[in-house]
This record gives sequence, C-alpha cells and structure tokens, in this order.
Amino acid sequence: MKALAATFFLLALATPLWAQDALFDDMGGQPGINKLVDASVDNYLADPRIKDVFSESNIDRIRAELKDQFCAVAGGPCRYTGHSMEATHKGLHLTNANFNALVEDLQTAMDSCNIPFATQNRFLARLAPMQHQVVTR
Amino acid sequence: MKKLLPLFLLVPAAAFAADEAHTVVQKGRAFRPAEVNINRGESLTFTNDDEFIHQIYVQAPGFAFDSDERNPGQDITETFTAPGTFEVRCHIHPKMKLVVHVK
Repeated sequence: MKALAATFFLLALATPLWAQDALFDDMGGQPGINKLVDASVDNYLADPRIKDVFSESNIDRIRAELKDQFCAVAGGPCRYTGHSMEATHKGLHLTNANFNALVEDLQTAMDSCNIPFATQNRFLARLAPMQHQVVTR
Repeated sequence: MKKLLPLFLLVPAAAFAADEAHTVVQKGRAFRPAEVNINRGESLTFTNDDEFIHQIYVQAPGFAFDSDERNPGQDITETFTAPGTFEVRCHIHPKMKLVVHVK
C-alpha cells in the first residue's frame, strides 16, 4: 500500500502543472496553433471592419503573444505572460460588432487550417468569456 | 533696481520651462512633444497619460536602453549619458517616435 501511495506521489510530481488536455492536441499541437494564429492575424489585417484596430500595433508581437495565449487556452504547455485582456484592449474602445468580426475571421482561419467544426466550437467556448473584457462600448 | 526686478521675476519662469522640457507625455499612442533637446547626463521622465500600456527603448551605437512596460498613470525616467541624436521608440506601438538631441 505504501509503495502504491509512493508511486502515485511520484506520478503527481511528474505531472506538469498545466495538465495538457485533448483540445490542444486536437488543434494540431503547437504547430497547429501557430498556423492558426498566423492565418487569423492575416484575416484581421485584411478585414476592413477591424484592420484599423491594428494600425498602430506591433504585429509580430501580437502574433507571438497570441500563440502563447491560444496555446494556454487550448490547454497546451504554454504560459501566457502578456497583460490582461482588459488592459490591452481598454484604449481601443471595441464594439460588439468589432468582436463579432474578429470571431468570424478566427472561424474562417480555423476552416482554412482544417480544424474540425466540433473542435472549433470547443475552442470558441473557451474564448467566449473574454468578450466582456474586450468590448468596452 | 527697476531693471533688476523683471530679471528676478524671469528666473522662476525659466526654471519652470526647463523642468517642463524634461517631461515627455505618452498620449494617443504618441510622444508629446515629439522632439526634445537636453544636455548629456540629464534625464527625461516619460509619463504614461494614455489608455494603453507603453514602454520605451533606444537602440543606438554607444547608447541603448529597453524599459519595462508601464501601465497608464505610471512614469519612467531615463538618463541620457551619451551625446547625439536618438530615437526613442515603443515596442508595443512601433509608430511612436521621439527624437532626443543630447548636447
């Protein structure tokens, strides 16, 4: 019994805190996330509804931070170290229309990356709570 | 004495002007003013009066710094230890540019 407990204890120590889940793997792991972020950002920059939101921003930095954030949201082995959604979006004065355009562009990117519809919905469900942190007017 | 009085009154005004010239405000994703003149060894205080997080950096031969990020309402002071003309930039907002002439 003691040996069993010790085994469980050692296993617990060996398990990373981030507890990688299936969504991350279903999205293609880090290469899949990277591809998705690049496709999404390309869509944002080409979308006349929201492209101006990014006109003053460092796009390379946004891509890098989104890759960490999407990875973390999907349950991958990343830690998002960027600022809160409130802090980064506060001055942009985004509307629900802006947010919806962003989600549409993300869905288009997920389609182009061949992410299955059910997987898309699982990922979007994790992003949905950010809506009220991003939309400020 | 009458001629001395105006000169005496000018001293505090000049000191105030010099103090103002050493403060740069970050607002509307821009530096205000966009160009300043200072002497070697003097400092500039950057006040984030914006709705965005900012940071500042200089990458020049012989003089460079790269600050932490500052939330709205926070200040950061940097001392310019080398003479020359430097561009101060923000990693987050690449269009922000301040030109600093250091004598």
